[in-house]
Amino acid sequence: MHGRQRVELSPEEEAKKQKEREAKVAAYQFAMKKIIEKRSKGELDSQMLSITGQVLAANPDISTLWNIRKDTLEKLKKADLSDFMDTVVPKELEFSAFCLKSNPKSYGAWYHRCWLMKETEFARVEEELNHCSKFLTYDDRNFHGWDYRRFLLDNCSLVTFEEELQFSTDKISSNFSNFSSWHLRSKILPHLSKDYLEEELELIRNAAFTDPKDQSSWLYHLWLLKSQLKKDAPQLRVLQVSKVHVIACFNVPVPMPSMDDIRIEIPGIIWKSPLNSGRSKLWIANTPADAIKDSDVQVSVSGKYIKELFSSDSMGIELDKLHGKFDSYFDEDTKPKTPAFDKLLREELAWVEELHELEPEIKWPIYTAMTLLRMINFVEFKPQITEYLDKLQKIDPKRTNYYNDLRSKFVIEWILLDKAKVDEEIVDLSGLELTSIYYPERFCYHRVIDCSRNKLKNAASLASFVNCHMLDISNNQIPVNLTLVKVLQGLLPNLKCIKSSGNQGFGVSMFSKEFADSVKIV
Amino acid sequence: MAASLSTDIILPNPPPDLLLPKHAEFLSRYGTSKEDYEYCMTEFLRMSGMYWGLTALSLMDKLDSVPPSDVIAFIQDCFDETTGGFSPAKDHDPHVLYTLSAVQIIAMYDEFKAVDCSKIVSFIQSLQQADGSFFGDQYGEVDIRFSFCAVATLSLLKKLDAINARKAADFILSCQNFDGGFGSKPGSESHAGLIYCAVGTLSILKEVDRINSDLLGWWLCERQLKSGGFNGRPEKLPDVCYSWWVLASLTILGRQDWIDQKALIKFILSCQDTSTGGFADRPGDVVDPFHTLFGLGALSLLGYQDEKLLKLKKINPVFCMSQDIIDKLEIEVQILPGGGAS
Ligand SMILES: [Zn+2]
Repeated sequence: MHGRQRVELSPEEEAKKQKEREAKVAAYQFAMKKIIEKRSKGELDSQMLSITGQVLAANPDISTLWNIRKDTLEKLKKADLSDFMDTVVPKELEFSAFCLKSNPKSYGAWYHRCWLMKETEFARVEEELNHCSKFLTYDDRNFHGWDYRRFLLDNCSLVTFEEELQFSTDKISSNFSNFSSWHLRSKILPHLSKDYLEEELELIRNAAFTDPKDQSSWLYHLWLLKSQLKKDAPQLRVLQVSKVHVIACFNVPVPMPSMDDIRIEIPGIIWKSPLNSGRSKLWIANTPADAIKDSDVQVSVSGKYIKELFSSDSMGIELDKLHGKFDSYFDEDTKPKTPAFDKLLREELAWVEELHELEPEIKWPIYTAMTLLRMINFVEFKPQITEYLDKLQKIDPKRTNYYNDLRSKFVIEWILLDKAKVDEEIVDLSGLELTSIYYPERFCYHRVIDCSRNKLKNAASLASFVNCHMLDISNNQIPVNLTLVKVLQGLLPNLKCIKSSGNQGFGVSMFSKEFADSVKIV
Repeated sequence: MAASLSTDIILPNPPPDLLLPKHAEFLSRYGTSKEDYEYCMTEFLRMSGMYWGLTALSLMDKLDSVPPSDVIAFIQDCFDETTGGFSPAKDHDPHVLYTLSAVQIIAMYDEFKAVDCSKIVSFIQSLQQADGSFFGDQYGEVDIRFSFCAVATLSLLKKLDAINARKAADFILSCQNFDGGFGSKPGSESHAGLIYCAVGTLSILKEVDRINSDLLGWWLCERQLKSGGFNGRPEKLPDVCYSWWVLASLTILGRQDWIDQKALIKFILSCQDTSTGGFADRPGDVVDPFHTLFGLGALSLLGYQDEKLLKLKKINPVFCMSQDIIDKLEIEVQILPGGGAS
């Protein structure tokens, strides 16, 4: 039941209403009985349309009755096609429209129209489009109406993408706060041949200045800018083989490297990802014992996701050496931009910051400015980005943990960009208020990792620290649970020492005797 | 500058306590008078209504207030031997929506012998299309909700291999939008209820790692309004059922802490009818079993405890069923760890 208010009735009103309801129930039950009887006798006729119509008009959600109508209509179609096309279908469309008037969200009534269109091979599609446009002027957020419109457009060539974009523009101009229309634009743009970017940005700017609190145009804005960036194709970035394990690290999550596009093979190798997910940036395997010849391991590689790092198909890989290197950026956002795009981002930043000065308490300009700065020059603008994050946290406390994670992500990125901090086998991530460790795969080769004095809330990221000998997770908020034990005990084969004091409930007794005997736990 | 349209509500202060005994009473009373108006007029979704009510009762550990034999007899009555699907009520047509509800109830009572389950599997199988999507029934409507129903049904029956799981996941991903969310079909606008269906399906298929959890998680936590309640799309009113759709999705994505949990609890508690029991979509509206389940379900996900330390049973975020049933069936869903690792 949606949007029906409780009302207090007087005893007289209550009695009156009760009577009405009893009458409605009786009418419903009588009609249903008749319908079921007729159906069992195969009497799919115009009387059937009339009785099911009476019930559906009061309650269009009874899908079985729409089914019975469809069966009846098919029979009528077979009997007299031209009558079906000229009389029956128009009446049926009218009936569905009638039902939608009282219940615009009725799945059954909407689908009935789709079904009628298919059944008539879209003979009335133009009329329907007009009808649907009119409907959307009454309720421009009804997703059934939008879905129906797209269904019609997909099945005719009456409207070009340019015209559909204009339709969306008209809707937005009459109501900027119309997420449905912005959504529609995101679907049309990829089909346009002309360059639309300038015009889109202007429309967004107008919407943002009109109602800076409305998230629709802001969400669309960031998407539009990010969608201009080319997505990185998956590529192997780093490969390391030691006596113990093989580590393969990619720039984006990929499926197990034993398929056509990515194949890294050593006879007997069995790959797994740190957390057993089907896709991962990091893949690890035990080195098959008989694969090691002196200080080399023979590896055969193939597939398009491998080719940047290795030119030949089969080669000896030197033990322990780290082959390849990581990108200096993290995702498309922070990748270096062309001068033209950089200029455009700075222009966007200018008006967003102007709006922020006008409306300092509204979060969307702040969030957008922060993201734009990250895209323009993540290192140079570190102070400004940090300041914006602080502001967000202050004016939007409901999402404080989201911002904490976002900050943690940025902090790790800044550390990774500072080569001096991560090039050695030791990395210091301590005391940074981290709630999460983003990009844990980038620490797969470090032997000493210090994450102490943070606010880490779980152990999952630690599973990527496969080379780690000395792990310090003391003074965090990591809950002691199965994940933690599984990660430390089962997934970090090189671990020699773990510092864990200051996490509530942590103790040697959590681990197996074997683990406690071989790893120093302090 | 024009002010935003008012799309939030003001809560009564302070919210009432959690009235578990009243909710149990409301649910077990619901449908005892078969001539009741609401009850008759919702006959077309009776099977789902049963599932909502029984699951809500099971979360309060009050399932024994309904005789199991009545429930199982009803389920058997609604089973269509010809297609292998379940209808919402006798003399109605079978549909995948009610097939999932029926199988959830069967699982709850561990009554897998009540009907010929191999026929249910064939029914689901017959609904899958070449693009991986699912029809709801033989009349050909496609919706991401039906994908969830199909996949969840087979998972409960331990027969996921009966369909093309890969394609089922591909279809879900084809419904993804610029904001990271999912709509009912490819091209449809994002909507929290449909996001739950998408994320839930991918969780059962162990393919949640194919989506951008940070982007989707952000959109989902932006559903929380000042009142603490969630809406299902931008600029819409809050509603208790979205507490479930949004929170369960965030839980699967490992990002449950991205929202203000205390404010959400306050909103949910305010939607109780303190005299009749039950939850409504918003404070002051008419209550029903649907919103009662999703209000209690969200509180259970949050591990809510009242002052007397009364606690709801733990709920599974994918199946929206008591976790002990899912554990007993040894079904594992994918829950992302969050915290940057995914
Ligand atoms: Zn609702």
